[in-house]
Amino acid sequence: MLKVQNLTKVYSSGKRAVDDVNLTVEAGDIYAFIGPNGAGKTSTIKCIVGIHGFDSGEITIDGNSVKENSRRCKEITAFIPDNPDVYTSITGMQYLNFIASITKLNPTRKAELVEKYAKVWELDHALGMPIGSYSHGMRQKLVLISAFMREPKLLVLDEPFVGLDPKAAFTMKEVMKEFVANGGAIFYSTHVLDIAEKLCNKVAIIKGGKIIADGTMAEIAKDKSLEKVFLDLE
Amino acid sequence: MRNFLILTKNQFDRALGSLLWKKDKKRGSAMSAILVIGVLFAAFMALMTFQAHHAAELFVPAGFGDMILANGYMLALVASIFTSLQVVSGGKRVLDADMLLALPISRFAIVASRAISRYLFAFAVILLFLGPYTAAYMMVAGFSATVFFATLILLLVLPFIAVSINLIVDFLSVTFFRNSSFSNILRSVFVIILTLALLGVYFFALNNTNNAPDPDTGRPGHLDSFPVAMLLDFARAFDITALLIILAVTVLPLILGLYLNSLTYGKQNPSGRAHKVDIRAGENRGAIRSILSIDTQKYIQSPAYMINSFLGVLMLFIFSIAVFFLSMETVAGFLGIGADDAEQFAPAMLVMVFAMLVGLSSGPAAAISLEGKSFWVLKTMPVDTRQILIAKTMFNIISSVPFVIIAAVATWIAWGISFPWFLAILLAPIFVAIFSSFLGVYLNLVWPKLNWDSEAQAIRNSTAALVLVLCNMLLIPALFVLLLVINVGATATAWIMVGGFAAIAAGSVTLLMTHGIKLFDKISIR
Repeated sequence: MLKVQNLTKVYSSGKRAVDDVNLTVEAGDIYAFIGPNGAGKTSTIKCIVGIHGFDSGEITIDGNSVKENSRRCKEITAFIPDNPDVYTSITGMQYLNFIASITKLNPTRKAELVEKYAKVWELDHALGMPIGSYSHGMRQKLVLISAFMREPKLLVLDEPFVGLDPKAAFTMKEVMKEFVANGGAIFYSTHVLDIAEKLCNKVAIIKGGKIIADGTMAEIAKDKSLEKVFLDLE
Repeated sequence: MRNFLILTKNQFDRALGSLLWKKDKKRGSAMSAILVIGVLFAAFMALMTFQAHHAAELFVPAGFGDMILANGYMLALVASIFTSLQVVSGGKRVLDADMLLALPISRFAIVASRAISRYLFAFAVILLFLGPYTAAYMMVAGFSATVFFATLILLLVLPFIAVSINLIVDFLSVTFFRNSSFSNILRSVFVIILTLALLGVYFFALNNTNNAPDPDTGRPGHLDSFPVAMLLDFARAFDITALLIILAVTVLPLILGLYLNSLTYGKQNPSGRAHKVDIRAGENRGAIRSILSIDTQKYIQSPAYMINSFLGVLMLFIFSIAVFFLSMETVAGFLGIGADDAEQFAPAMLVMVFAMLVGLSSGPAAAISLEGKSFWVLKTMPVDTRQILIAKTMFNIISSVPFVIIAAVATWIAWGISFPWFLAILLAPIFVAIFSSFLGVYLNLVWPKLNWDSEAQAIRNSTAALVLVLCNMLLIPALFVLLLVINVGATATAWIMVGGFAAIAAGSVTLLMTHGIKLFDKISIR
């Protein structure tokens, strides 16, 4: 579903944020991307979703090149950033309608999915309120609904559990499992290693822009905890 | 005082840091922004000096040198107050408000340090007019140390008036409308009405003053009334009483404004009331209409955006009504044209005025910046960049063109002007709206400002907005002055201006749709 080959991203400051990164995420995978602060996680993710350009390498999503066919890649990918910054001057429902309209969702299907996910994340009562009055967690839930209602093939998430209350975090894990069970793929960065260990089937550890370990959770963790593996590699 | 100085230093450190810590291309872009603004600023001052010098050569030898200084003072005051009202934020919370309020600093010190950027903005606007008029006066009348030093003092204290009005209006708009469901719209309307009222009072006073010379001072009435007489007394004779009055009317309102603003600083606006939602409602409207719809929401919710986008076209609308009550000669008189010359000069003058009013909006230059930290939404959606950019230009065009049509048709009906003249006053502002929209979005892509603390920074105090407004202020009258200098006649001038604006509009569309697309794709958020 997602193939990253020899990806290199150098910022104008000269910093090599991502250095020859290779990753493969298959349909049905929940792939954790972990690493210390400033390791290159968010830079890699932003290259995948089209926010950043990159200097060399290739990224393909479902066989489409991000560089050559970015529109098709964006049609099948939904992104959730680490900070759910969305338009504060409109209501939650207006935001969802905007995303549905811009991505040409079927209105009936959109309504079904908004109803479903708004109920799941208990945001249905707040959809008529301006986003400016939402808490961080509510904005995060709104962005999650907007991503899942698009029924993408690939979900790319940057720190998706930050700001969610325990119940919403539990729901999130269930929804992620359901999503991959239906043939989707998830690639997400996180610092919450115990959740990653239980939820993900694959993991990659990045440090200084380079992948220092990757594989299935069983291959990486072996008989140790993911936290121990991570700290040993540090 | 100590906290105020620390906060002020922090403000400068942030401004300087954003320049120094940028590397390579970005630092180059910041330096080029400073250079472009500097060149446009100097060009505008040169244009004003040329115009003021032309007037000084007529008035100074005839013994009316005070007219030149008085014009400079009044234009500087009106322009600075006008621009200060355009940046009324309506109590929008700045991003670091919580952090500052959690520190042991008084609200007054925070507000005072924040007012410095407004002071510098007003200072620049006042310099644009005070500098050229004083220079032109002294070029003709000879150097005067009294006028020179008095002008320097005025340059330092007059911005206080603009800052005070900004702070007081900001406080009033927050206090009056804070609890209303339509608070943002009401605030915008309040500020717009206030601005128009101030301009109305100015024009009324200008045209209803008894201009017979005062027996004591010998000055004509409009130079002998407050505040012009006081400013002239100070400038010509360094009158200490006048100086004390000037200090009183500038510093006291500033202290009041800072105090009032500190009462509302950082207070969270009440949460919006929840409206019933129909999840099943909503249709697919396509990318352009969807983005346009979101931009319209932003426009309605932001007093600073609404004031900046709406003021010019609202003045056009008022003009559309006024033409039914005012004769062509009266309006020509407002524009400084004698009744005998009205018929001859009105076509070109009206084309310029309509174009200037449409060009007042700096909204397009903030269309990308206003995405702010939510810029990732547009970047990750499956939409062609071309469609995004067209949507971003559309808002200004759609909000200007209907008012242009109304004004042109009203003038046609009320004054019975010829069809070619009607076409000229219809087409010229439409081309300016197109040119201003496409160039504005392009400039915003050259100098995007996505990390702002308050919307007003993106709308009015950004490089792109400053460059766009300076371009409009320079290009439109410069074309007019050039054509008057080569003396091709008013109707030909009007039509050459239409052609010139059409060519510039076509150039702007091409620029945005080629290089602008590449710039958009390159913008990334860290």
